[in-house]
Amino acid sequence: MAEQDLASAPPTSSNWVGQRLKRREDPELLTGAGEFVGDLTRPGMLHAAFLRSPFPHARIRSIDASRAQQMPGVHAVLTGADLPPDLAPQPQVHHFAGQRPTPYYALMRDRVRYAGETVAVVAAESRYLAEDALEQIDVDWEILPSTGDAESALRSEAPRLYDDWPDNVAGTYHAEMGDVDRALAEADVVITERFKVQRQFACPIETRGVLAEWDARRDELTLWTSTQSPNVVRDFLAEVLGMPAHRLRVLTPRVGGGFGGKFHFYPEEVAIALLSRRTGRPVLWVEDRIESFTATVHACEESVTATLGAKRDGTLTAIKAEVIGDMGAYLHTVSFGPVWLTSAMITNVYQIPSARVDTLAVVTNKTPFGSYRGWGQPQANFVVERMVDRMALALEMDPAELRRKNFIPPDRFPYTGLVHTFDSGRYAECLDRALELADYREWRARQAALRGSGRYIGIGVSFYVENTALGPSRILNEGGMRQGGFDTAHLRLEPGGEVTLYTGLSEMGQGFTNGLSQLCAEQLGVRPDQINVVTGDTQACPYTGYGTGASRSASVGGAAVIKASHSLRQKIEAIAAHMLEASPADLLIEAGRIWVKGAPARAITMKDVGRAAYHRAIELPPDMLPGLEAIEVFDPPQMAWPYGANVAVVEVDVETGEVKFLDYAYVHDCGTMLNPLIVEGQIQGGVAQGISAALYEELKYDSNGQPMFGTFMDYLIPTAADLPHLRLDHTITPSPIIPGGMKGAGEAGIIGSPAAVVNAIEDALRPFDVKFTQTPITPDTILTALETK
Amino acid sequence: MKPPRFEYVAPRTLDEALAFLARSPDETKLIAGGQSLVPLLNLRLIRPKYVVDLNTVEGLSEIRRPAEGALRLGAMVRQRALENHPLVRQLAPLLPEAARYVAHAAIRNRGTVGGSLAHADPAAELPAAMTVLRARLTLNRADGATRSLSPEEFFLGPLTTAIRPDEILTAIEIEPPPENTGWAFLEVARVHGAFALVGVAALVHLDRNGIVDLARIALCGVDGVPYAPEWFEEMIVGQRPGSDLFSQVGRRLRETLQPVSDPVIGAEYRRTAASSLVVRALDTAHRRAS
Repeated sequence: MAEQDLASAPPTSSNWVGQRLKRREDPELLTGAGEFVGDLTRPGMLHAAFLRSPFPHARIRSIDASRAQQMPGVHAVLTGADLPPDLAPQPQVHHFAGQRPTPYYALMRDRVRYAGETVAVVAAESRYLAEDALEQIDVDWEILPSTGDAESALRSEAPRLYDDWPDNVAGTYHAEMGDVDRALAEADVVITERFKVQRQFACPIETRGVLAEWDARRDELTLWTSTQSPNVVRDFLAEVLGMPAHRLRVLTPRVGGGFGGKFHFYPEEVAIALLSRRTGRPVLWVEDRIESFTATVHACEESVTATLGAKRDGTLTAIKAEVIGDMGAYLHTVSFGPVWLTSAMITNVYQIPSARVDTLAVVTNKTPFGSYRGWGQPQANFVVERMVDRMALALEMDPAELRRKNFIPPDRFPYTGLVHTFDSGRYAECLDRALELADYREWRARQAALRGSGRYIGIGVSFYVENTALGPSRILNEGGMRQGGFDTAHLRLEPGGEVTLYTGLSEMGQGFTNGLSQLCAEQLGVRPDQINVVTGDTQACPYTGYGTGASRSASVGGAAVIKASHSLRQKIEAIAAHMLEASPADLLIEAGRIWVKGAPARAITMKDVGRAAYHRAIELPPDMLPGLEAIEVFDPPQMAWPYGANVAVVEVDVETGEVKFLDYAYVHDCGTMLNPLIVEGQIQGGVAQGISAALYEELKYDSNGQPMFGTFMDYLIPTAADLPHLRLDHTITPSPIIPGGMKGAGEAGIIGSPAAVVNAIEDALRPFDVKFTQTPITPDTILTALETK
Repeated sequence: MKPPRFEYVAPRTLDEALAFLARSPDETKLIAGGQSLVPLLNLRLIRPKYVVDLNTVEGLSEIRRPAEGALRLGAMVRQRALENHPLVRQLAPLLPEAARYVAHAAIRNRGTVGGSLAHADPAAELPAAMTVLRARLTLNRADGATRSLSPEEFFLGPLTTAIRPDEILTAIEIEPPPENTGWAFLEVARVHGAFALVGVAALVHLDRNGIVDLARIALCGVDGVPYAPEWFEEMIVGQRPGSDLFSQVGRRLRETLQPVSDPVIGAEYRRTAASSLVVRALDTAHRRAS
C-alpha cells in the first residue's frame, strides 16, 4: 500500500491507526529548515570548545590557562580547579547491586582515564577563537600505564584505573535457571564458542550540542540540549549543581538522531551551564565530528563464551554464557545496563529449560560504555543465533528447522524464562512467512547449483525478540533503576476545537508524534492534523522519567494517550450530549463533528464544545466545571515483546573477500502498528545499522587505549548504495498487556541482522568449513579465514 | 575542528596566482576543490599563512582537444566533469570509469582532477589512471617557465609530488590510446566511496593477429605511489591474451607485491586481492579491446 499525504486522506475517516500517513515534519526536515541546537542563537552568545585529554590515562600535575585567558575574544576558561567545590559527580539512571563507584565530573581535576576526557573549557566570541585558545593552555601531564581491552584489564598485573580497587571489575551479574551442568552432561551434542562483538557507537547525523543561558536576575537556567531525556537532564543537572529542578528548563529543538547515545547525561551539559553562569552570557557548544568519536558514549563491546547443549533430535536443553563487557573508564548514565541485558537475553526465543550467565563489567582506559540501539540485545542475539546455526551444522539439521523446533509455542505465553516474562508471540508463523518471502527453498537450490561454478551464495536466518515498553516502574526500581517506566499524556481540547497533546517523550527523528496523533485522532474522533503534539520542554510537558528510549514511545506513550483520550472524550461527550439534548451513548464523532445517531442534522463540532468549555460556561451541563483537559498516566504491567525473522542472502567473492547482498527478507511483528510507514522506516534503519555492525563499524583502540579512529575515513558507515533492498512484511499479534496492543519497534531491525548476515557469510563459505565468531567481518577477515584453511 | 587563522587570496588570473605564490611559496597553500585541504586545515595539521583559491582563476577548467592532438584537461576540471564529459568518455573512457570510484557524487562535484593528483594520496584512483594513460602533467611558474612531467616523475611518495613550492599544476595532457584499446578500472573498497583497499587501472590493445601489442597496469592503495610493475609489459606484450596469461600476471604480482598495511586491512590481504583484481581488470580490458 502506498503512503499518503494527510491532506489526501479521506476527510471523514475515523480509522487513523494503521494508515500509512507521511510524516508531518518531513517537508521541514528535507528542505533543511529544521532548527537544531547548532542553529540556535541568543543575544551575546559565546562559543565553547573543550580541551580533552590526549592520553588514555594520566595524572594532571598542573594546568596553566593564564595565556589563554588573556587572548582577545576569550571570555572565560574553566578547569577542574574552577568547579564549585561541592559539585556532585555525574549521576546514573541505572545502578546495579554491588557495583563500584566510578565518579567523574564535568571537568576532571587531577586525573583522566580515557583519551577524549574533558579537562578544560573555553568560552570565546567564536568557535575559532575558542579553539585557538585551547592551544595556549598548558597541562603538565604525568602519563600513567593504561589498558586498552577488558581481557588484559582482568590480568593481575594490569594497570588499575581506581587505586582503591583490587582489580578492574566494576560490577558483576549472575542469573540461573534449571540445572545447567547436569543438562549439558546429559546432552547428545555440546558446542562451545567464544564470540567478540566490537565497539561501536550511535553516531547520529547531528552530533550533540548544548546551549545554556543562565539568567542571573532570576537565578534560572535554560538549557537547550540535543537529548532523548529532557527530564533526566533537568533532574541530574539540578542534583549536580545543587539547585532546585524547577529553576531549570530543558528544551530540545529538532534532534537529528539519538539511537541511545543521546539518552545519556554528559559532562558537557554541566560544564556549559557553569560557563554561562561564569560569563553571564549564553554559551553554545556543538560537539564536532572528531570530538563525537570519543566524547559520546561507546557501546556493544562484549565478549561472550557460550556453551549450548542439545539432544540428537534437535531439542535445545541448556545454555551457559560468560559475558565480559568492556565498560571503558566509568560506569556512565546506564551503568552496565546493556551488558546485563545481553546476559538476560541469552535464551532468546527458545524454550531452553536450563540457562546460566556470569557477567563481568570491566573498566578500561577507553570512552565510557553506554546505550546504543538494541542495548545489549544484538550481542545476545548474535551469540545465540550463531550458536543455533553451529548446532544445526553439528546435528545436520536445517537451521530454520532447528529454530522452529525450539521456539516458545504460542500457547505457552506469558512465558517466563531466565529473567523476563514474554507477553505474546507466534514465532513459527513469523519465521515461515519470512522463509516464504525470501524464497528460501529456491535460494537453497540455487546455492547448490552455483557452487559448482565457483560462486558462493549463502542464506542466513536469524530470529529475535525485542524488549519494549520498558516498565513497570516498581520492578525497574527493584532492579536498581532511579527512574520510572511510566508515561504521562496531557491532552487539551482548545477553545477553537483543536487538540494539543503534551508528552514528555522526546522526538529525535523517529516520528512518533505522527503515530501518537493518529492514535489520539482515532480515539477522539478528530483528524490527526487537528492535533498538535508538543514535546521537548520540561516546563510545558509532563514528566516522563525515562525519556525516550527502549522502544517505548508507541507502546507506553501510546497507551497513555489512549487513557487520556478516553478521559477527554468522556467530557466532550457529556458536553455535546447536553448541547444536543441527547444521551452520550447516542453520539457519533468523526473528523471533529458530533451528531446524534440516526439524525445527522443534529450536529455540533469540537469548536462548539471548546467554546462552551472555556468561553460559555452557560452552555455546559449545570454540574460541570469549565476547562477541557485530561492527564493520564500509564505504567505497563509488564514489558511487551515484538519479534521478527531475518533472512539474508549474500554472495561472497572468495578472491576479494567482498560480500554482496542478493536479497534480504524480513518479517516483523510489533502488534498494532500506528503507522506502518514509520515502523518500516525504523526496521530499515535498524537493519542498516545491524549490517553495519556485521561488516563495517569498529572503534578500534590500541592495547594502551589510544584511539585508532577519529573520522569517517576509519569509522565506516554504509550508505544506501551498500545496503540491500529490504523485502518486508508483518504479522500482527497485539500485545495483551498494552491498551491498543502496540509493542515497540524502534530497535527491532538492529537486533537480529548481524547474526543473519554472519550466518549467511558462513553458509556461503560452507565448502571451505570456515567459522566467524567476531565482527566486523572485513574482506581481510574472509580471505584470512580462507587462506588458513 | 576549526582552522587556525589564515589569509584568503582570490586571484582572477593564473599570472596573479603565480605571482602571489612566488612571493611566499613556503607559507602558501593552493585550494582547488578543498576536499582534502579543508580537512587538513580543520584538523590543524597544516597552518598556512595564505590560502590561494584557484576556483576564482579563469581558464583552468577547460576540457579540449586541438585537432588530432592530446586531450587537455585543465587542472580545475571537476571529477564529476571527468566522469560525464563526452570528449573524455570518447577518448579516455578509463578516466570516467576510475572517477566513479572517487568518493561520492557530491564530493566529485567539488573535487578536481588537479587537486587529486597534487594531493597524491596513495589510495587515489586518478593517479593510477593517469599512470597507465601516460599523461603529461604541466607545471607553471611566475617567471613563465613550464615543466611537463610524466606520472613517474611527478609522484614521489605518499602525499609527495615533484611540484615545487612556487609552481602550480595547471593542466594534464593525455595522448589518447590507439583506437580499440580496451580499458578497465576495478576497485575494492569496504563501502561505496571509501578509500580504495586496492584499485587497478588497465589498458590492453591487440594487433591485427590478436596479439597484445600494448598493455599497461597501475595499482592504487598498495604502495606510496601508483604501482606499475616493470616486468609487466615484458611478460604480456607479444603474447596471445587469455586467462592463462592473465593468471600468470596475477601470480607474479602476488609473489612480488610488497603492499602497505593498516590496522584493519593487512598487507597480505592487499597482495591477494590485488592479484585477483588485476586478472579481472585485464580480462575486462581484453574483452573491450576487440
